[in-house]
Amino acid sequence: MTCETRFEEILTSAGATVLRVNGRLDARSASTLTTRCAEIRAAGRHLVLNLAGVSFIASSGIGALLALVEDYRLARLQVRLAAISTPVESVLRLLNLEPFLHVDPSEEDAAQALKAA
Amino acid sequence: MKARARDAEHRRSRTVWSIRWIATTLAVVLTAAGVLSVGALSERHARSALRREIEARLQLQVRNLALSSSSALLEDYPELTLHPLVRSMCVQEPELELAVVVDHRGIVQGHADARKIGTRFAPPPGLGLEPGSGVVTQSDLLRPAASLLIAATPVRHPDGHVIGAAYVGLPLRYIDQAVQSSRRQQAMLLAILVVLGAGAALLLMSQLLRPVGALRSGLERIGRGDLETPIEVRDRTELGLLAETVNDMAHALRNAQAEMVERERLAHELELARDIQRSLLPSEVVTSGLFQVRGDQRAAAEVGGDYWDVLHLSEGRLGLAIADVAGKGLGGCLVMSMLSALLRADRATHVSPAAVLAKLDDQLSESLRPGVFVTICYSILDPVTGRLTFASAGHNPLLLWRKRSGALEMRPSRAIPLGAVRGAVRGSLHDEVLTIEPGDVCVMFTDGYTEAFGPDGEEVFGMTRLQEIVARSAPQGGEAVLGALREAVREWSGNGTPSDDETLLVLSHQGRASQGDEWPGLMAEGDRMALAQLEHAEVTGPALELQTHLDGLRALDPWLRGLSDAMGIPDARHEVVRSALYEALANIAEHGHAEREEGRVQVWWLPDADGPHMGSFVIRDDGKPFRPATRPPTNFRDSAVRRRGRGLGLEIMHRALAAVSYHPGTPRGNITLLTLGRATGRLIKENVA
Repeated sequence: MTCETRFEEILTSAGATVLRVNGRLDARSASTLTTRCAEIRAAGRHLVLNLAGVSFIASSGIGALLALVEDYRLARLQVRLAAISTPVESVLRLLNLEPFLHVDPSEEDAAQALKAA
Repeated sequence: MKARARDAEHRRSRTVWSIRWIATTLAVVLTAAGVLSVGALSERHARSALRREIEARLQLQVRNLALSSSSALLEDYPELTLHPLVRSMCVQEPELELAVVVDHRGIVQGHADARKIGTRFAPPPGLGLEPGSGVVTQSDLLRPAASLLIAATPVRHPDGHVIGAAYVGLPLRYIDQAVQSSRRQQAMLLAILVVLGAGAALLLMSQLLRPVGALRSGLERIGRGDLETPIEVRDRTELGLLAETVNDMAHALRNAQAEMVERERLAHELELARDIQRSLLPSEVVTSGLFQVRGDQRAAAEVGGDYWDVLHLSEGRLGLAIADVAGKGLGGCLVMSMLSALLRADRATHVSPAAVLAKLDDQLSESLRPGVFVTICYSILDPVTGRLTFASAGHNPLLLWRKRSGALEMRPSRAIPLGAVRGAVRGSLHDEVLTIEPGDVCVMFTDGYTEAFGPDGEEVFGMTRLQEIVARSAPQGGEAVLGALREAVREWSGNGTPSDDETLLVLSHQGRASQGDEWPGLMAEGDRMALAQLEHAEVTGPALELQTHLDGLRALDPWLRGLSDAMGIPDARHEVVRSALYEALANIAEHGHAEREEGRVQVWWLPDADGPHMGSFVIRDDGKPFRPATRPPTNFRDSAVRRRGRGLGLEIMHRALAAVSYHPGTPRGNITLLTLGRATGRLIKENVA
């Protein structure tokens, strides 16, 4: 079986990159996500992660999200999660992690929040 | 009793001084003293007054005699006039011893005795006259001479010169006789007064002291315990008042005695109730398989409404009950007894604790007064599987110390107490399942523990202290927890009787959670439970078989989706369960099979008869036996922990599942049990909130 997780990058005018994730976020795809986000961070751009298409998130995916938020914070950049899917929301709530992540209903809301910041 | 009898005997033999005789004697003595002293004083005055009176009379008599004699002495034969004169005078005044008239030569011319007429008058010595003269010249001479008091006066011629003298004498003893007579009268009076005084005093005292007898016999009656008969004294003196006071006192004593008898009766009944209550509670440690249940109760001053019990159910299962009836005293005790009887009556049918409590609520609601309610936690332990199914109706949280993680789990009740709101209890009750693993200690208690007042009477022992003590003592086992809690609360609230019942129930798994080398027998027991589950699962239905690599695990999704749909599990819960199950399987794939493609793992869903959506996932594989390291709870507040982003799989499992137990290396391979309870759903709700 092959990995079907797809990443789609969109550049916005506000100095941010939107990364749309589709498919499963398990140990393997989580490392890809980490690599892609590190590149975006290196370019000095804020990040909006659209997780609407995530059908499943494993603990490694959650770990990757937490780690990249910390890395961005250290680089004085922001990460916002937009339109998270039910599987992601369930696990975030189970672990009570929402206070540590910025979650917005949509990409537009996330872009607005970045501008406001 | 002997001492009292001796005192009474002593009282009887002692000389009693009669008040009436004392008062009478005193009255006699005082009267006599008064009369005598008044008499002595008046005698002195009487004697001088008498003397003055006698002297005045004597002088008057002698003057009269002299006047009567003056013309007679000028006659030729004065004796013819003077003799009858003096004689009649002596007859009239017989007390006169001397009555004489002499002429200027001192010759007696008038005398009662005619023979003395014409003789020379010899004046008594002491009168101060010259011997042979016999005529006084000094007027109104009055002096005592010999034994007489003599008055003398000259008889004068109308021209003034002295022509003779008159003498009158009265014996001095006449005065003494008069005084004597007066004294006799006085003595007579004294005697009469004394007799009258004594009689009056005796009569008065007898009259006044008559109530004392009645008072005394009344007090003796009271002393013997007769408080019913009042003292009949109709007296207007202070003694009457005293009798009334004694009657009031007897009345008050009667009331106090009645109260005391009532109190003693109540105390006796309470003691009986307490004995019955004690007899309802188990007195020994109950052992079933590797599990031990022990309880302790320190009863409040009154009989309380706390209850704990261990019931032997079918197939070696144990029913553990702990309850607190709101309200102490006999009422609480009766409800508690009722509870005990009802629980025991149909224990053969106990399967779901929530159903048992709902039935109890139905039965109790009919008899409980409004405002009386019961918090109760009832649990059923299956000693073979280690599953503890419990339901709590508003009771204090159940605490479970996990040997493996060292963490203390708390399971608060979301249901309302029995009898609190009629008809609403059944809907609020639900069963939760815990798997008690080797070394775990489960603690149930009543609020007497958490609400025990400290020495200042304000601060209570509190939940935090209780949790700390459980966490500290649990590694030493259930007995240590019981001892430590009991000790701590007693030290906190002092050794006196507590204000509320303090009741504790401790369930402990006596097996060891170590690798099992030194306790092969005990390990085998834990594994036997897992094997029983596995066999049960294999009978129930076919397994889902997965390849032990990341892509292979994706086959879990459609299988679990089908299961969730079949059971009507909501999406949020499905996602949580999926995460937990995936993490468990991913761990096995990574650590047991190094993600090799040829590895296989089997999964069964074993539904629980106790309630919907409840049961266990039984996972079996033949990979390398492993057991995850003891896991402290992840602290996401620490940014370093967040940055590391590891160990989240176990966190997800422990948050999502009621229990996780690992049984590596059994004869049937590695078995992992994931138990779903109501807690799973609740945890999600809490997190959402």
